[in-house]
Amino acid sequence: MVRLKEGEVRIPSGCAIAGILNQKGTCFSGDRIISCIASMRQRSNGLGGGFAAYGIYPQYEKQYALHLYYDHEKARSESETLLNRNFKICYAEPIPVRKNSRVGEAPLAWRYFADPREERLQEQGMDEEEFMVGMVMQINSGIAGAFIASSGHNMGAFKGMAYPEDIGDYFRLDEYRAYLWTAHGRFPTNTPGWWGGAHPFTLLDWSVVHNGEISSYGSNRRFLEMFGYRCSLQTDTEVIAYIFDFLMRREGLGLDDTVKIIAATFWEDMGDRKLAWLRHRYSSLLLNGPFSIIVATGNGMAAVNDRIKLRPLVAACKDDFLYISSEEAAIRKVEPVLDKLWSPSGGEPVIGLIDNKVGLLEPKLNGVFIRSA
Amino acid sequence: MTVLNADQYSQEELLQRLNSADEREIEVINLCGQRYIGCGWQQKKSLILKGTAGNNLGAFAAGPEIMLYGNCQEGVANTMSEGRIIVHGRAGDIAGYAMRGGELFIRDDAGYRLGIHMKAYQDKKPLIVVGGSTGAFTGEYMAGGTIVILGLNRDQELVGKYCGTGLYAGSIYLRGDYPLKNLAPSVEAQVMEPDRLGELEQALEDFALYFGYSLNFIRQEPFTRLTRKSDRPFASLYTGFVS
Repeated sequence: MVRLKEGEVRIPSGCAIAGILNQKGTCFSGDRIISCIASMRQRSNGLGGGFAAYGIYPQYEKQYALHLYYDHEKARSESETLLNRNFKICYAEPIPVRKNSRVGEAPLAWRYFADPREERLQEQGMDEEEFMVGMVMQINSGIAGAFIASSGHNMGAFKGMAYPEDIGDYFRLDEYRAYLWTAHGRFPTNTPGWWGGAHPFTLLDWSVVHNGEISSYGSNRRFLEMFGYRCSLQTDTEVIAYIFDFLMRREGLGLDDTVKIIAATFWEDMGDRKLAWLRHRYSSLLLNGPFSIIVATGNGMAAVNDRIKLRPLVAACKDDFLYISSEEAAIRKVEPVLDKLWSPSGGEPVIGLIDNKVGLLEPKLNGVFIRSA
Repeated sequence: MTVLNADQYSQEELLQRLNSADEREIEVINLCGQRYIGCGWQQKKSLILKGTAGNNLGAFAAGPEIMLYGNCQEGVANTMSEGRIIVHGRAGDIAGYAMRGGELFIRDDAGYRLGIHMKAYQDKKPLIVVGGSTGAFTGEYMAGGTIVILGLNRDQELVGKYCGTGLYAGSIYLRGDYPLKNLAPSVEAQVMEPDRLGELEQALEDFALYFGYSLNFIRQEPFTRLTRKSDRPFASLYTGFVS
């Protein structure tokens, strides 16, 4: 076979993101998000795919659901020793998989439903969430061959190095039911791709899928490091998950202010003193470069573009469902007739919330708000 | 007329079938995101598409007539040099990017960066008419051709920010009493006499015909023409004085 050289072949790609939310909190199978993201196959290249699912573990709703990936048994025993010392583990099992030839060599994937040990919390003088964040950082940066794919309540991330539809099949997502799904098909830029580098990136209940490139990664990372976040997954998107956790959970900001920090108004348009103050105070958390992201947490999802919209993003509604995607066709694939479809402007978030569910995505904002009647 | 059901083919198969079809008129139904349709076509074939067209519909085309009943995604008419694309719906970002000729009619809104880098040469004069409104950077670095934005379904600003930034040649026409907002400082806005619309006449007539609007209704409101302000719009960009 003749090997094609640079310039003789074009590999069309550019990452794909998608999210589907039922605003009444009704759960539905993973089939739908798989077929949605699969229809954008051309945007990824098989070096990363993943999903975040919310509402999948109602039987362990109160516990932290930890998804861990291990390269070898040694990493597992080291991690489990650490987990046992710090958590009361209610239940643990390998995450069920359906082997398929399209997913190559895979790490061991385990899940644990766990409560932090009271005495450990007291020793450390931390609240549960802070303790959990520390644990995630410790394992991800300290145990060779192990990483935490997700660490929230009643949610989980399933990701790996293959096309997203193949990852969905591998983790049997058709057998799960969630009220909120997000998905990502990856075309890695700058990095070779690995299981930990696939999206979503998560922390506690947060998950982020991202199309684009964060050129401010270095300064974002240095800022976050001062607050105990350690970036160990070698992908720019990781900082976005930690920025949302930092601003919304730790600093207690609303989503409107958070969006104005990551996709700040240009100085010439600033006008508002509060915005200028936020811009100064958190200047190192500005996300520079092109991006479209979907950030999800227990009570909903928000999608936002960079300020000058250098990546595609469309949103649509149908009855109780909110759809967000890189391409309109991916939405039409699963919902051909829509009530409304639009492209949000750069820096203008689209927010979908679950009715009557309390959470960190708070409704005090300027963005386009979607809540069912 | 050949009718192809896009559901039945992979992206590559569909493109192969379209390319090899002998008939002059081809209809494609159930289109859902397939890219590169009509891409690079030199022939004067006629395509009727039903569904959502994928990225780069009619990119680099030099001849075909494409009628789309549905929306299109990014890059419709990208670097097209001849032919006509009529979209009965909305368009995503970079519609008409670097167009060099031919016509693009969009019934509803268009996204960011409509017609950026458009250019004209001798008898090649690209035309874009948008029925709704457009996103930021409309006509950025435009170096020829015509963009018309009608705002017929206006529920938002007619054009997004930075309209006409770096515009060097060609014209952008805005319909309605429009506050001079979101326009680049380097463009000059001039309200046109209603009975002297010049090159606009034909464009409006065609738009009304394609999408079933009354021409009188479209012409009820005044038009503003945007062109470059001076012969050397960037002369003082870096130096602060004209050398």
